[in-house]
Amino acid sequence: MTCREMTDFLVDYVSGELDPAVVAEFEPHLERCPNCRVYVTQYRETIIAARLAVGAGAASDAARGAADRADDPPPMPDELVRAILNAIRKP
Amino acid sequence: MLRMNGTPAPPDEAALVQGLRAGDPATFETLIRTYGGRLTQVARRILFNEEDAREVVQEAFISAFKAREQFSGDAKLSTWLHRITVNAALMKLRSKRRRPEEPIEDLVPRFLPNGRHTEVFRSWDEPVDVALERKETAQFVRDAIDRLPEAYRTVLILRDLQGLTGPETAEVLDTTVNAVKIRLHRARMALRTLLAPQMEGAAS
Repeated sequence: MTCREMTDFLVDYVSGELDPAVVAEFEPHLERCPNCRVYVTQYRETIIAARLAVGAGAASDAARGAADRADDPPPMPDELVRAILNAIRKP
Repeated sequence: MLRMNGTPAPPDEAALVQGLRAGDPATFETLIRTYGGRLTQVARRILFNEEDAREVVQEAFISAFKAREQFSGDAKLSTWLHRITVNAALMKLRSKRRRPEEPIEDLVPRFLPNGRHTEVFRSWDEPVDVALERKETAQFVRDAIDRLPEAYRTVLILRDLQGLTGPETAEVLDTTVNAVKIRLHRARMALRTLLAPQMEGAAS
């Protein structure tokens, strides 16, 4: 496996959805290639950085579902709810 | 299905659809209270502006009410509302966009003919959760997200920040699951490139 091929599989690799047969080629490449090791780490860290920057929590791809269920958006302010309801009542 | 956090007991979808189609204001109020918080969050993440986000969500609910008879029931109500809100937010963004976007091709890694990276990647200085504790680093990351081309930024927001699944994102953006996956991958790679100069020297 080349670095280019490794990169193509990254999205499935970090979500844990990569075919085990491909993982068997992917991981030996990572062991041999320090540059790709840095890249994979930073790819994961980029996702975490984006989430932390907007206050979404640092959950990894696999743990994301539970984290997002815990990520409570504030409820709609009452005045906004009323403004919408008033607008739709107009003919 | 969408993860509608912070909602009490999820209202019965079939009853909501029936009430919506009938134009029942009480049903519509339930819809607003159930999904409004999450929709405001997605609008805020696209627009980076609280006032614009509220305006967009208000417009989106009003359009949804007007278009209620067009709701087919093939999609979930939450996905349909996301779609209307995301489109309204993107229209607003286009009307006031001031920051130039970076072409995606300049931000994704390049390879030599033998398939190796052209670039040698330097490790980042400190763990990302430590770096992000600093307000200026968090702002840098938000600005970097804002520099991604719109098609990529939107997918990153819906998938990585809002936690929508691939199929939900595809439905909101009216595209395929595979297109969403490719755009998400390129968006993450591009964001990594934009973050690298800051993160390599983060602690200094």
